[in-house]
Amino acid sequence: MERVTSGDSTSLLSKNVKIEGDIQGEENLQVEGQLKGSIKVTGNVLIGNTGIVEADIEAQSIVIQGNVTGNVIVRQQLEIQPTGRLIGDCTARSIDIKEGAILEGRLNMIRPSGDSGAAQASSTTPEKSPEKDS
Amino acid sequence: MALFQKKQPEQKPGQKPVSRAEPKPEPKTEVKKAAPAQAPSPQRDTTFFTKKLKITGNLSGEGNLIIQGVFDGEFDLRGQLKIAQGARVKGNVKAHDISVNGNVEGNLTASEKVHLDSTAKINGRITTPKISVSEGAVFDGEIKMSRATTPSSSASSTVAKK
Repeated sequence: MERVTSGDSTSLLSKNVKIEGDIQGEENLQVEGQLKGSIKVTGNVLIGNTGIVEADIEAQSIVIQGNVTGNVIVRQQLEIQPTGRLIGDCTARSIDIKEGAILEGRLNMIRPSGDSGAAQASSTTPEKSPEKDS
Repeated sequence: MALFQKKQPEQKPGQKPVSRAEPKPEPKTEVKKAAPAQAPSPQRDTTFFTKKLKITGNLSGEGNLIIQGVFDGEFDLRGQLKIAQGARVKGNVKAHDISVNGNVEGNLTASEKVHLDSTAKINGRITTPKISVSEGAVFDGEIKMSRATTPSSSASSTVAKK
């Protein structure tokens, strides 16, 4: 939680609120309620304990404490906490999955370009390389 | 008792009580400074959408909501809705209590009251039992005053008759 609030301002979708639609923005987002659709933010996303998200998420980093169904693209770190659940494919630069977390799906790691690891990146799909625009 | 009686006359003429009194207020001021820093508490029940957030879709639920960014779609909220200055809402809005400071294009329906603040700009229809408008608000459209169907309003009218 502190990780998300430490940045710029954070938008909060509270417990008893439900959104069906798309969220786009340049800030951090904390979801404690229900969301169906998509999230695309340049900041960090926290899916809280009570959060239920059925959406594709694109963000700088994501911390999952709640329930997520959908594909996740993270430019930095994906963290799934013990209460967290992710059903879907994810793309991330680094992952942190705590004991007790539930994860079902494919994992793709973004590898830093020009690294020795890039030569071995035969397992990753070629689509990954143009995404490294940051 | 004898000891106390001896000490008291010593303190009165001496400089000791002054030096003792000085360190006391210092920690007090420190405590006062620390207290307001802890004061701002996060509002957990209030949904909050910041300036740079754009939402397209429908929102429903319970609780309070403050919107500073752009919202395209319908609201159906059981609670208080605040559309902040600079916010833009396009679509129909339903809530218990609506307070507008930003731009709204669409219909506002409140079951309790609507307040249009000085920077509000509204294009649409308002349906509410109670309304207040501040000087400077811009409103293009029509207002329909709906009788509140809640039992509390009928009770208050009977009291007024007496």
